Amino acid sequence: MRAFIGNRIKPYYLFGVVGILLAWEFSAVSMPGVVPRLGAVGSSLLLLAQTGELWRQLGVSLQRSMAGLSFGAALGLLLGAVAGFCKPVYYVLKPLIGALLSSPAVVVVMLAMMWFGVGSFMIVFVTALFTVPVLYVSVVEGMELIDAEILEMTAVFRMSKWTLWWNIYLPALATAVLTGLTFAAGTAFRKTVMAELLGSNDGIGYAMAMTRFNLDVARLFAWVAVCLCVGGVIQRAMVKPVAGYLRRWRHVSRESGVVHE
Amino acid sequence: MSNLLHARKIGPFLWMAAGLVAFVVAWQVMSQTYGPLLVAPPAETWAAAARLLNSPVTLAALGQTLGRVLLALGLQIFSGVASGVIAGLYPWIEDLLQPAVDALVAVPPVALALLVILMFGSGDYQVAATAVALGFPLLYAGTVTAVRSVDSSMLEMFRAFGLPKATQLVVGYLPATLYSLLPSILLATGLNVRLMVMVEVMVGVGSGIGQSLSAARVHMATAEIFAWLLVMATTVLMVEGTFLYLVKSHLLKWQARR
Repeated sequence: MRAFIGNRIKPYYLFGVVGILLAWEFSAVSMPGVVPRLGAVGSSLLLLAQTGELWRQLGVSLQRSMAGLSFGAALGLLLGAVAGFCKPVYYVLKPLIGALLSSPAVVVVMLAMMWFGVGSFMIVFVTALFTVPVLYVSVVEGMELIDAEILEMTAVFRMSKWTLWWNIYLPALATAVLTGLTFAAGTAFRKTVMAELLGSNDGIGYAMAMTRFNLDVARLFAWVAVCLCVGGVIQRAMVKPVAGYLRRWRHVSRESGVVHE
Repeated sequence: MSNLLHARKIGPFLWMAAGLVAFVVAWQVMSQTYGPLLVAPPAETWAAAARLLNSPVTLAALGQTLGRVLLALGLQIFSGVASGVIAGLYPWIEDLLQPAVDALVAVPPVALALLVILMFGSGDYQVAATAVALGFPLLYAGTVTAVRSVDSSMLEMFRAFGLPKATQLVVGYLPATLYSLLPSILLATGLNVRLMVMVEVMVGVGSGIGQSLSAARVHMATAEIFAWLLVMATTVLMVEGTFLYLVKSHLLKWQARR
């Protein structure tokens, strides 16, 4: 039910946005030289768009995150499906997945830079590496939700392997992959930006790192706004509808998709 | 039958141990193929980890980072529960706060750290504030969910007896909320450790794990970087394991009472 309401624009949400902008402008006025005025950020953004810088860097970052997402998601899906069917594999993989989930991304980026140098390959590698556990966990959990009783019933009624796959495993897998992908998309973009920030000479992350050297806070805010737009598009276009769809028959917590680093 | 039960309990651990062994073997092979400078061998990493845990300097760094994590967690729980309870009770406030939460979720954490550095410089407060802001949405969302799932029959009873709102909050909402918030707090702890290290590396404060990591990177001390990864993974796993154990045992007790 919430999902249907969620797709309409709520008035208080807009008030919230206006409130943030007002608070921003207020702090910009009261702390001149620290927080840039809204107008300055707007003109920075306009300048980036006019010079084509915006589209070029955005394109580079999106390409990298898509590449990382596809490799990582494919591997995570494969591992998750195998682990879902075969419990021993799940336990064998547990230390590896645990290590991945508990490693701070900056440290992994540091190591990846030593291994592969600075550039696209390193960035795609890091992005893929952090996408794997998202898909893996989602698929494993999706497979766990398949009711043992239903499986027993299919055995009793002697359904064919084909029916079993088509009616039980595939829908479960499909929803799990869909959820995993939506959450992984945001993760992939954020990881790409982080890796670019530390070791790259193009992309949004690099552009952000440059603002640090030029002490151009307004431009940094402009880039952050671009990131928020990308995140917002992913959130509105994918995460919310999928979560609403899934909530119809199973519990999806509000926290899903909030965990990030 | 008891044999089967036994096997069922032991089985997973055996497989996990096998996974761990395979992991270490693969690691060893990688380090022999690519050299110790790129991939530090397991034995060397182990020795470096022992050195880290025996040196008072690095122990202090670990303590500082964990202290910051606890401080950030405390602030997140306080602010998250306070705003989450209000947003849970009044949906229009949830809508009002949603843009800020959405922004905090969608922003790449490094970008936020960079913003803080550029505007306010580096330092302890900056590190803590960045981590609190990044972890806040998790606790907030958890609280909203928890408040919404408070037993409605209990609330009806409250209303029937005409309890004042403040009493309802303290007697009804708060215990139930804190209880169902435990998993979120658990998630937030691990998240905070990773976030804190990231922020320490980015903001560049003069203490903590982040600073040791940056130093190790400059000296190309691969074994030390690996050792920090090992120490952090173990710390996170231990914290989460203890927490999970406590939650599970309490949950069982609570359910048994019902």
